[in-house]
Amino acid sequence: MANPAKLTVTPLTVNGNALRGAGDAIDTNGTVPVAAADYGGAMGRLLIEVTEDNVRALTVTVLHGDNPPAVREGLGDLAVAVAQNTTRVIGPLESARFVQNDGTLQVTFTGTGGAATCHVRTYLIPKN
Amino acid sequence: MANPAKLTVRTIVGNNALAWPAADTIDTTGTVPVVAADMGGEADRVALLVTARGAVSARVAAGDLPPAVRQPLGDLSLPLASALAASVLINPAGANNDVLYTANVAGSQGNQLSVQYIDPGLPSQSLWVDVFERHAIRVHLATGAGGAITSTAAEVIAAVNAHWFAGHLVTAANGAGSSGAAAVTAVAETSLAGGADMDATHAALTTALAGDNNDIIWTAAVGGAAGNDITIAYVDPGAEDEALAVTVTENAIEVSLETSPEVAASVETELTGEDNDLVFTAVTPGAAGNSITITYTDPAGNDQSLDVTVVGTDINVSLATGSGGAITSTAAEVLAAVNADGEAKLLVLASLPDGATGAGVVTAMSETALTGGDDGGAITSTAADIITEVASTPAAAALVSGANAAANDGTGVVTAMAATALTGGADLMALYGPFESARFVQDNGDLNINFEILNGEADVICFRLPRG
Repeated sequence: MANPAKLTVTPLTVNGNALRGAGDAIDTNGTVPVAAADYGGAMGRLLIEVTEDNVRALTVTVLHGDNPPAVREGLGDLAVAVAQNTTRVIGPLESARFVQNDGTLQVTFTGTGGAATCHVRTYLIPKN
Repeated sequence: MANPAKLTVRTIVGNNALAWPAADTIDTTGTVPVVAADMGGEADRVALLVTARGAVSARVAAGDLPPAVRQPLGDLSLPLASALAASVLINPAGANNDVLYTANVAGSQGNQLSVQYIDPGLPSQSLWVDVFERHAIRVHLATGAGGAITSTAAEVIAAVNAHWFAGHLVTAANGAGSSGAAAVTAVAETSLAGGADMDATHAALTTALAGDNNDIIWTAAVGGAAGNDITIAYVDPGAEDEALAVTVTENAIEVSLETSPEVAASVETELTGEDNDLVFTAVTPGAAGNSITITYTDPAGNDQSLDVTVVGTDINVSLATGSGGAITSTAAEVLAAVNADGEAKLLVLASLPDGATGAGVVTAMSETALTGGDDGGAITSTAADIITEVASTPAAAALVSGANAAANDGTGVVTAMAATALTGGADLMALYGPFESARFVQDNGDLNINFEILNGEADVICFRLPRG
């Protein structure tokens, strides 16, 4: 197997519902983007839910962006430790810090002592 | 258990990570608020993650006006693909007048619908239908000249389905086994029930036994991953003449199978002549009786006496003869001789066939074995028997329901089966919201969630989303 080419974004809608599906399977250490077109460039409305598959802890790192356009990229990456068999919700995220010059958001998955093994669900919350 | 007094709000903060929060468990139908102070008065930032472990609904209640200016749009029901349609069987007294009403839209919204049959109380009225306040279907029945109701179930079905709005809400059809030809009676307002917005995936097991027409699909009564903990075993009791029985220990269903009784071997003679036959039945039931033989021997001499001898399991009856050498023993005499013989009576019991007197003279008969002896203990339960027995055992019926597997008619005898778990059950999770404050906020600022628990329960995590 291999990681997906990009994370799948599920938009939430006002007064609507969405199935919480299986999510994208991550089984390899590496970086997976969220494509700009999939989240409408609205990084401030993006939530990333990471569920470790009860194999090993991992670190999810949201990579700092490129300047330009990410004028606050100097604040660096956002690293989130996800313990074995737990779930974390990451975000929303600041475009000025994390957006790449191609509009993507880059997320790196690194297992502790082995391959990262988790499922990722990515949501775009509506404007409010 | 009971529902919490309010849903716990978990706030998601930007550029941060929220550890997955504990859920509030909802196990009772009722309203649970999201309190205004907990969500900062911003209903439009509230989202619910509902995990269904059964058939449940989470409806957002319409708010108060003021402040919810769009409150007239009503409650928000969000059925998923797995939603269940509400229904009700209107079953007036008498046969062939049952009507099943099923909501056309699956989900909890259908539980708001009702059906009523109204006797106009006047003669010569026509059948007509109206819908009161968008949810109450009222069927005004036709009457004859004397004022008696004349509307049949079929006429009611046609009228409801043809009504522009009632036919939009429900589909009416004959109840099972009802022709619809009989007249209905007045029926008080009766609500549809059983609608649910979410039904978790039910665990199931399709048996694959040796033999034909004996496989069953067992389906967990309540959807969700917990159904995978249910096991079913068919147990051969290893004894004869056992009854079919179902026992339940927590999630383990054990079906102790019915077995055949032991049967005594027997034979009824078929001699030439009238009223001269006997029935010989093995004293000890079981297959061993099939080795017993009976022989009637003509001694081929004059004035011989009736005599019984036994060698092993072979009984020989040497028949009496007269002065001319003809056989003179009657069936009744043979019966008495066999039953009086010290060895023969340990092997068989002789008796007269129904209606016989045994007065007829017997004939010689070559060695004839008793047949049909059986040790018993063979499994006799069919798949249909087991489905019925499980359904009539409340503790088992609360766990599973059975149906004939595809291409099986249930008539086949089952075999023993080791405890086997149902599989495939899965909880169903859905995100609801965020919600429109202008429609749902109450005059105290709360957001009210009406939970309907058809079966099972729901876990709910209430998120307060960041501003988008």
